Amino acid sequence: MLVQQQATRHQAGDRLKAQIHTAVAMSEARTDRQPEVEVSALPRKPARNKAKTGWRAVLAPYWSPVPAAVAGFALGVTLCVALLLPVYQDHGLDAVPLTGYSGLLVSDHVRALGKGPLLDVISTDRHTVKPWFQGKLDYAPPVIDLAPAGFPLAGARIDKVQGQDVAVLVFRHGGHLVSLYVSPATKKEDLTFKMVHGFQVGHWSNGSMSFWVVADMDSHESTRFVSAWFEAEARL
Amino acid sequence: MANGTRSFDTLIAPWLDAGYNLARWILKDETAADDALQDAALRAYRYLDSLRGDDPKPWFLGIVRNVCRTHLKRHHELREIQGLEDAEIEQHQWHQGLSVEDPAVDLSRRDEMNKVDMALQSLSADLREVVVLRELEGLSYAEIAQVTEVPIGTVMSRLARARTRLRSILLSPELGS
Repeated sequence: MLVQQQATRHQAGDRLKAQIHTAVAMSEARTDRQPEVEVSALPRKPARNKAKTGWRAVLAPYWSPVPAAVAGFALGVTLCVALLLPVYQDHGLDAVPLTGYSGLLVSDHVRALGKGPLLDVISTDRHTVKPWFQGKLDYAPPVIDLAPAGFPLAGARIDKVQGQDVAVLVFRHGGHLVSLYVSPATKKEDLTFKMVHGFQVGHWSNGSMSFWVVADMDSHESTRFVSAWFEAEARL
Repeated sequence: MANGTRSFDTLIAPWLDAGYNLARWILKDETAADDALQDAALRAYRYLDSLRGDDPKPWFLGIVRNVCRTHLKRHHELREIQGLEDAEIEQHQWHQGLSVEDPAVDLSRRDEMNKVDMALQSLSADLREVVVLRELEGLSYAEIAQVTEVPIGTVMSRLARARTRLRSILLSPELGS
């Protein structure tokens, strides 16, 4: 039939799909996420192998619930296994592998939104989040709440990128989630932006810290986020 | 931990394009379709448990369709939805090339635009959606009935009427096919 052959099949763009995944993850984070202090009190859960996809089946043999007796923040941080997974295969994004450091960060951001954890510490208070990093990282990342500019701090996590532990600050902006990767640096770099698989990826360095921001916002909003950070940083 | 999002990735994410295509064809507007797909995806995620073992594609497309219909109603396009065989409305729409609310096309580009797309656009929403579900998404009559919430007989008669309409549009001298 003519329609079948010639009518346009519209496709949802990468950015729309990224936004949808973010919205779903935010929904998940609101209902499912336990604050750090309660994590060690959760009962052990046996591994369940019900899913038809590869993910649960792959992870199941490694699933190890955290015993309640184990003290200390470090282990209370996550129930999921710290397994360095390859590039996150998301049905919604292209199967084209992501390249470069920005590609790694987009994969990490997407993984955090999907499999999680999105946040290891949930707090809008920088006086809670900043000290939380002590003892977990060999550097102290700056932590700023950008709520006055419309980007409230949601919390933070620590991710492994290229074998290094990296501090990640997470901000909300309407239906969007922003991951800000902060790590030590030695040279200054001017702000640059690029689009990677539907996500805006910005990068700059002030000479002592290097920043990468990943978000499913448009370039205008991403620029606003960075300006807000610069302004707030100057006031610190 | 993130069990819900993993089920979403398995069950719903594969059908986001199909959902978007349906939303675009029903709403004829890119921004509205973006919003509709987001709303539908969130709703599907929220009610994932009710899916159980059923086929997720028609289930999700049914949600998309409902969201779109609500959107159309809200924008006072009841006349379109009811699929009035009002010759006046259809003539008006056809001579305009498309309905006015499609910002993507302006009349000067009429000739360049895919003639089949134009013909499909000119159908009423009731007829358009069954054609899209059948010819572009490959659903069975039963699945289309599930998505559109009308009896199978109605699906078949709408498809027949749509084919007749499309044939007469595509063969009409205005198109110079």
